[in-house]
Amino acid sequence: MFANSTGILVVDDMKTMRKIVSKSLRSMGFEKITEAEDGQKAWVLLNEPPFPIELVISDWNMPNSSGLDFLKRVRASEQYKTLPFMLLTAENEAEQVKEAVVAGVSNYMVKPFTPATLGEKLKAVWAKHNPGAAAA
Amino acid sequence: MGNFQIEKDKEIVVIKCPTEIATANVEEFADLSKSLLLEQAKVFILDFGSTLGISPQAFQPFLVFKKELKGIQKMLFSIGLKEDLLNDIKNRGLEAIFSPEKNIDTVKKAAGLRTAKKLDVSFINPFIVATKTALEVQADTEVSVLKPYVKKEALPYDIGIAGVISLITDGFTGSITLCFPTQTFLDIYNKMFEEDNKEINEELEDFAGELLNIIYGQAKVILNDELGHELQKALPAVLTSEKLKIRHTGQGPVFVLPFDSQLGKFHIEIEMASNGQQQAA
Repeated sequence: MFANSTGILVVDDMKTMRKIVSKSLRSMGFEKITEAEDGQKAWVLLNEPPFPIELVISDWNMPNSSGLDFLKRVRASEQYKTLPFMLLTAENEAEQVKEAVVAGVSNYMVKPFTPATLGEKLKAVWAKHNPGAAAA
Repeated sequence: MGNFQIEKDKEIVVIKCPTEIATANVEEFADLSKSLLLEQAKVFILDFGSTLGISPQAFQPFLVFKKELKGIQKMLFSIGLKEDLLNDIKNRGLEAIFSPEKNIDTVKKAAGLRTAKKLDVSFINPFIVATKTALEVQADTEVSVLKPYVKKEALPYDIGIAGVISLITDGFTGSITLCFPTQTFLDIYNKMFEEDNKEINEELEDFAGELLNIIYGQAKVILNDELGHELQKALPAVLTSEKLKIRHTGQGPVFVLPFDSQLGKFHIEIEMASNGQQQAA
């Protein structure tokens, strides 16, 4: 599983949702969490981070640059093309899921969610990006 | 009466096919198809729900019918094909001729016909379930569902914050409004984040919008995927005031979905009117 020192970037235009995700992550022991309010700001932060970013958790629907736009930008870059990236959305529609999978999302979580669900999703992301490694 | 039965309206002609389609039926279908070409409908459906087999010689008139329909910009689809018959059609390379679909609704969708759903009370149930789930899961607040009713007068408490989303489909228009008394909403938020906010601020407004967004997103999937509505993506607007008055200006009835929690009562108002003026059931 990701270490407590894993650097995590949380992206959501709603401050409360960023607080919910960050609070859930802290309750799991993660310490290095930084936040951005849209895909554009997240891209800047990803390239000038306060600490190395090893996991992104991004909302889908955001102004300026959506979570999907941000994911595509991340996957198109040589540096971040394998960066674990999870999308959050309020809508669980098959077409949307397909689009995210095609764009290279690591996992996908529908709101509302509990910290336990977030933990399970993170385990799955870890397993996907670290095949063969035992999940904690 | 022939072996092929016809049901039709302005948009669609359904041709119910017999149990077996043999050489003897070829001439009958050829004659029938000529008269059907004169119909106003743009979409023709071969209903094979009762059909167990088509003899090899009997495929030809369907090919001709498809070609003639295509020539006058009309479409032919098939429904009710049993697995064996569908495989037979596929093996003969005739899938494009018969254009198999699951049912009339999927035909309408494939043909680009409007499938406006009428309103009924089943529309409100997904919002009840989604509201309970959103509050319990995301806001850590146990919620009990009270009996919905049609709004005739103002609610017996003041509303301090409300999120609104417009509901627009081909079949109806309306809105959904999530309404909280100020203190109830403050208590929910403060409990979630262990904070002590005394008044509604931008962050709390955000949260009201996000809660409604989650409720709408959850309900929309059920309404669209299971009940056949076509609700679109929509963004919530948030209103705050000491005593908000929620007035609906549409033509339809307003349903109140009341909820209770350990932190106080709140409710959802759903206003909806069918396009074309029918009232909700």
